[in-house]
Amino acid sequence: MAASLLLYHVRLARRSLRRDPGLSATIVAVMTVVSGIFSTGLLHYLRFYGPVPQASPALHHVEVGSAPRSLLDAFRGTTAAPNAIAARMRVSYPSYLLLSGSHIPARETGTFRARLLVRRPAAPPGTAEIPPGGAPPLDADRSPWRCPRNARFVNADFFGMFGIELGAGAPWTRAQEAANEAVVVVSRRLADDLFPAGDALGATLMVNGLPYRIVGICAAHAPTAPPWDPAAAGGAQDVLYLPFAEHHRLVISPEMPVHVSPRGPSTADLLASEEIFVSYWTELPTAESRRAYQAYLDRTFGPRRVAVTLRDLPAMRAAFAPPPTAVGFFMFLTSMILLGGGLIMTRLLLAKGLARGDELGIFRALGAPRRSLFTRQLIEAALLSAAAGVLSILIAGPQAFFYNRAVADTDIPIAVTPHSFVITLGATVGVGLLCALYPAWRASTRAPTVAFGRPFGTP
Amino acid sequence: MMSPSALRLDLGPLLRTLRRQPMVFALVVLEIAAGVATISSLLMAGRWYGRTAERPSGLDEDNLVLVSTYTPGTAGPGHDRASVERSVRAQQEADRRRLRALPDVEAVAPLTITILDDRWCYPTLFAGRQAGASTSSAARLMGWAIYSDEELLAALRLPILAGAGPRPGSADGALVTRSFAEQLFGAAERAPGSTLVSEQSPPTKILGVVADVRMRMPFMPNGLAVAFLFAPSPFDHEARLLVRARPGQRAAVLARARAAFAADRDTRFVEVRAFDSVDSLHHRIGSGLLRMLRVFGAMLGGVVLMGALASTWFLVAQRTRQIGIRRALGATRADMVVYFLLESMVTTALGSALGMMGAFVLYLMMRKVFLEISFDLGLMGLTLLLLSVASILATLIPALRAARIPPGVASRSL
Repeated sequence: MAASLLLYHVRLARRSLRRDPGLSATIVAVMTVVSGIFSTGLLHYLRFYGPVPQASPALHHVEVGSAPRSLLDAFRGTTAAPNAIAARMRVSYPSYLLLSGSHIPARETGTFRARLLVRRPAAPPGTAEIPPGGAPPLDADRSPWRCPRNARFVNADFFGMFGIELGAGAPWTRAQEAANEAVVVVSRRLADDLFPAGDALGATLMVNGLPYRIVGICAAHAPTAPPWDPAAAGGAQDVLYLPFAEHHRLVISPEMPVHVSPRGPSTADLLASEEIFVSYWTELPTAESRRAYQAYLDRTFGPRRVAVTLRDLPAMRAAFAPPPTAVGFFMFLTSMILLGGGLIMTRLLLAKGLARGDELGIFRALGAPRRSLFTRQLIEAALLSAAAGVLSILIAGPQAFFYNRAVADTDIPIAVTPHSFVITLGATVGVGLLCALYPAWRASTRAPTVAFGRPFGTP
Repeated sequence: MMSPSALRLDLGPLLRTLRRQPMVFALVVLEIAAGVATISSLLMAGRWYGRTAERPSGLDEDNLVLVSTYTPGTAGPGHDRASVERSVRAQQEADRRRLRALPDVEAVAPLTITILDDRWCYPTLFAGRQAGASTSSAARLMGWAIYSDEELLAALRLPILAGAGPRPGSADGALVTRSFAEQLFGAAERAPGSTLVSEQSPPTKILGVVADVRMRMPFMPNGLAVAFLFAPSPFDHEARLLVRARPGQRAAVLARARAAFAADRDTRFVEVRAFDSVDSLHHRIGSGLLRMLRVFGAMLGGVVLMGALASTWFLVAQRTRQIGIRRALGATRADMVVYFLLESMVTTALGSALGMMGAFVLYLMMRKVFLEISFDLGLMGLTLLLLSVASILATLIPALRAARIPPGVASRSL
């Protein structure tokens, strides 16, 4: 019954739309543009703040020492504000060794980022240097499969702790890590770039000249703001994951240590220094394990007079709330633009109501209740804004294409996804309905006699 | 020119109309306010990106070539970390000699950071200590530490503003930029001879002050505060060599350098490129976003115009009787056009005032995320002008139509 009534209203609303095609088209055009701009902001927002893999609820983070105020102050109020949390979320190498020496946590991982040279063992004969569909090179002279790429050193538990889904293969095991096996997990981006034929799993990858066997391929791009290292947000994604201890063999310096005190020039100096660059995560699934680890921290760091704070995931998220970013600002601005478009829609719907005053008066005179007219106006607005929401893809799609080609700030593309489409459609229809409330109320409260108070057809 | 009495005559009905339909006019005012606030914010953000993209490095780039290398080296049986680092550094030094030997090369200087890098790094906290003063009382500064050597000045061709350059063969001391010296010591002349203390390197003496150069992406803070340290740089597989070619010989040097390193491409990464800050990631991001935001601004302007035109048309149509009565009472066609334009100007003025307040609130939000952004009165004025013109245009066409309504229309429904 309710469905048939709704269908009846939808039919009436459709007819009503056809009655003022010019105004209807204007409403759709206006809402399409603002919805397209909103959708564009949303694509960037979702890329930065969008859903990330579900991390283990038992994850814990340890903040060691007090953060250097200098770094916090340096980045505050800048586009690089997320970097300010680096000094609090990461620890020095000696601190990492202490944190990971307890054997209490169920799982644990250290992680840091560095730049490595990655390539296939030998280019297949006749293969182009720049693979089709690969990331646009920064320079024609710079081949994407030979330039330094972001790589991350992690422990075997890392993938399970952060819920990173692999599209093929599996992460290396603790046993493989302990045996110093030369294994890697690669990102989808790297697999696509270097192995366009889809034969990456099990293949050999040359990393800084050493052969590594690919044991897993990530199912999706890495998050733009990786929860395991939020200070690395916004840059190119990590295309390669290696066992943590491999940094010794590769003689690696981390990409961006936070400077704390002067140190010598060698990597041995770095590893012995207080430079901050390792993120350490631990999984403490029970209250007992948490207590035991807290006691371990007190025993280990207490005598050194170093403050340590053990936080579970919610506490950690509260303590390290992401600072405002340009992406967030543009999301706010584009939401305002969508609402502004809604205001224009309100005016146009009022105009529509004026133009159809006679018709509405006749409906009322023939017995149509106010609620019916009100509902029909809302359905009409919903249909118009839904059409605009669908058409917004005509703006968001080309914009995403342009952005990925011409701006390409990272190798994580922005893309119109079902998720973004549903949000855009929902927001557009929601704003359309909200902005139709007043015009619908005005139209439904029109007195039946208005239509007959003057010659038919005159306003 | 409209006389005050005529203006009063027009304002009376106008205000009565506003009172009769407050919601409609509130919507118009809000719509204009939203347009002013959002379009001006988009333009200001666009200008910020544009300016950031265009920020010059401060270097004479026309004759500079950048050679970036990544030399792998792995530890294992028979190769400890120290020996690997020695061999990588030896290769990097050999690269430099190879470049120096090329014809038309004037100087080759190593640099740990350049404005073209897409690699991330953090700034360093510096403190300066003038002779006889304590560090604790010294000012502090967040700046960028770059390791180089005595060929820096020849490669970058930077004028020394105070003090002197490094002595040949010396691996000690530092040069700082003018911005750096002024922020830390108050004046460039006070810096030479002072001790520079930092979180990154041991205390060293400031040898001299050079002109400002920007060595980091302009999105980063304090880009002109640079300290060039003449000390062994931290070990890194990556190296950057800045090559100065003889005037007019950059293309030839580029070709020779590429040929010189051609054989290395199979074993390590070597990139030879013209040093051109326009051909950089920050420029691509800045200019690309500027174009996008301009397009969005234009689209929004079009939306405001389209919406205003359509709805004004119907507002005029709604008042056909009112117009007919005024015409019957003696108002001329010109009076009617002036009346509608005045109505539009009142709502536009109210909307603009509200919009400017909104734009300022948005500007306060932008200050938190856009480094050193300023409230651009020029862009605000441009937005107001464009929206006013759009509003007048949107009113003019229906107003002219309204002016043609004959006085007889008013009597049809009487």
